[in-house]
Amino acid sequence: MTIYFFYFFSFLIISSSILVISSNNAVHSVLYLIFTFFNSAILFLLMNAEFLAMTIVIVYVGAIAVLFLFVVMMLNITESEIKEGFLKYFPFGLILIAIFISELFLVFNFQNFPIPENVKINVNEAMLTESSNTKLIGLFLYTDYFIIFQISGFILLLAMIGAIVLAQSDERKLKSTSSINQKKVRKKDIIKLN
Amino acid sequence: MNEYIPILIFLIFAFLLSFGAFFFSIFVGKKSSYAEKNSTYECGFEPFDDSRGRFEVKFYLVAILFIIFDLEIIFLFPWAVAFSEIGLFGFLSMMFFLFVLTIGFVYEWMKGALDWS
Repeated sequence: MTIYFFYFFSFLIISSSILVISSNNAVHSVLYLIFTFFNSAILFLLMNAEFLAMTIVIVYVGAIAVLFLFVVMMLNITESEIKEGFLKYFPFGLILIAIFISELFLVFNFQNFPIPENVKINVNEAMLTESSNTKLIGLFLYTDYFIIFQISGFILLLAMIGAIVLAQSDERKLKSTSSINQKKVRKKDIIKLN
Repeated sequence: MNEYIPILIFLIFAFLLSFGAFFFSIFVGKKSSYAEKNSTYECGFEPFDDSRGRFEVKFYLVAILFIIFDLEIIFLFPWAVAFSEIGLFGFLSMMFFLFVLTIGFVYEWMKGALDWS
């Protein structure tokens, strides 16, 4: 039963991602991309990865799609300009496809991912006893995979600072009042009698 | 997986309902159009410019900062669910993670990225 759902939703993913690259209007492309994200979340649900599915809906549909919309609106490109770049970027796209496919082969060749030596609990054993996907991630991420978790924190910090450095202009134009300075003002400072 | 079947049924009904409303109005509805009817409605006017104008990069900055704090909150969910079992070390590791992100937040605040002039 699940395999038919898998075929149905992966068919939707492939067809909507073809629509992403073939549609003339860039905003329509973003909408098809959102549809692709939703379907990939459903694929994660079919694999019992509930937390990842909800994360995809919150992060990709809720935040990344908005970011894509902003990029599309900020670039200010017309339809013909999109079509022009197709042949130019085609070899680069092929290289990316080759990288992704080779990564997939690597993943399927290693059936069992190498588990760090300091891990105290057996992941496969815990998957049988623990029913909640979110709790299982919580049990391992913050203790056994401590370093990876902290690295992700630093990556987020880096992204935050990088975005501010790139997009924030230096001069502060914001006008504000200071109540302390306002109370210091005396009559002789502002009224001048000749 | 069985608890998702109501959602699937809901999705099927939503799909049928929206497509039904769409295609019934195309095929069953009566169509009579003329030039006046297709023109811009009386209180509207012809657009002056392309609707897709460029806007300031500030909006993009807000969206990026939103994504980062979104991810921070997502890291909080499994932590809260498994809180009673990961002990003091799990608590402190999350506190350090939050501390690192608070450094970024203070930087952002001091730099004035949140001010809207």
